[in-house]
Amino acid sequence: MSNHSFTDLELIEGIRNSDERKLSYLYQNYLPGIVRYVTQNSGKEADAHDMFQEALIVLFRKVRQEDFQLTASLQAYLYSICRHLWLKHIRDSRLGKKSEIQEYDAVDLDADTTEEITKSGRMRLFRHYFKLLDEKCRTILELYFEKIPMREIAQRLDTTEGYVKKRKFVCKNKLIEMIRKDHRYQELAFGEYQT
Amino acid sequence: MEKEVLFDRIDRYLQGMMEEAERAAFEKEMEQQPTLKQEVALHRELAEAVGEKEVQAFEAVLNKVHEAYRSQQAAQPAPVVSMKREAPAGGKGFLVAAWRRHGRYALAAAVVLLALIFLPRLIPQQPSPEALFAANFEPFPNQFQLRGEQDSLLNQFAAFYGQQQYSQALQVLAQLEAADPSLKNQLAFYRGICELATGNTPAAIEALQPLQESPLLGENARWYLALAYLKEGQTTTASQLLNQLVQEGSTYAPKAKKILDQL
Repeated sequence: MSNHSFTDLELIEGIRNSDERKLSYLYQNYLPGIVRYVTQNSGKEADAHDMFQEALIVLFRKVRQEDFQLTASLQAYLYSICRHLWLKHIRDSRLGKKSEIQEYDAVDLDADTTEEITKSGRMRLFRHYFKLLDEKCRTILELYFEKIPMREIAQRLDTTEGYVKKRKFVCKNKLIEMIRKDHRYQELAFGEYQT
Repeated sequence: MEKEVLFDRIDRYLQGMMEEAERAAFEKEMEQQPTLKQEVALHRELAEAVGEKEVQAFEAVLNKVHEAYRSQQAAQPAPVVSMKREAPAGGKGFLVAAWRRHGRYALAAAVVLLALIFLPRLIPQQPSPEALFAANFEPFPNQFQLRGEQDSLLNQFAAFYGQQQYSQALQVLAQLEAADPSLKNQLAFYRGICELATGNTPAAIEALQPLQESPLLGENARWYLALAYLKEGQTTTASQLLNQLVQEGSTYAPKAKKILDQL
């Protein structure tokens, strides 16, 4: 492990550029604290690792936004995202009462960030189920989502446009049904999704 | 079938394939039916989730970094760092609790242990004879006067010796010894240097010993012989030779005196 330390700006640049060395630094220096927080609050170490990864992906989304500005230290921001994720997990899984949670130096997250956290969770959930589709389904949907015309998709797959259209519906329907059955989907739904 | 029609409409809306009037009607429908609005949002985000190549690439890098971190953790478990304002009354993990209870003692013990390991190295000590050899041994410059291009063995030796390829130089030396008896002493001297350089100290001593009284090479031979004895740990013999060099006012005298002081 390198003793070199990075400034928050360098680390943000590292997240933006998927710099392995700086990401590794974040794991080395910030994950142990998250593990402690989670294990003291009804969670397992593996939960903390998942959550940390989730938080980094949220950060990746945030730092790529043009208007992104860090209003607290990166460490505090990262911890706060993790805390938000964990409180939500506790609430959803009814692991414990919120009052029993041991708090730490967290900053108040702005609405944009909490929205980003939820959206990031949905995106991961959608991708998880997308990967469970068979290869043909994945290819057709991927090409369709890229707005490749049906005729061209049919040509590429050496089949008819009618077949592609039919498969597109079957695959998408299957994907949506799988997602709806997952309890996390309801937990992650908000805004336009709220019922 | 109804669902297929609905999906088709949503797709055409999201892909911008609706005519203006149809689009306006569809949007009005969405406002009136929250479930339709939710369905459209879901379809939009599905396309977004599958299309987010940059985020997926970032996830892949994270997985790699995480895997490396876990392997490292498995190899050397580290104490968990606190990020709380105050230490809580009781933790769940035994190790964490033990660390909190005995942390300062463990830290003190670790400091003492490290001191025991490293302190002797920090206190100046007399270097070992072998260290003195390593600090002082430098191969003698090649002083063979090359006698023309036809003298290829000497050329080869000079090339290997110059490039510090002493094993190869020794092989050429053996051929030279057989070919030119007039160079016997000089060859023996260089043999001594090469043997020292390759770590074969007894062979070096054997080669250098007969040269001690040589008018031409004696001084150099005694110096290298002293170093060879040092390497072998024979400090008494080494000291005698070094003293001799000092008393003679040899060019090696300053170096010899320095070694004697350290012995």
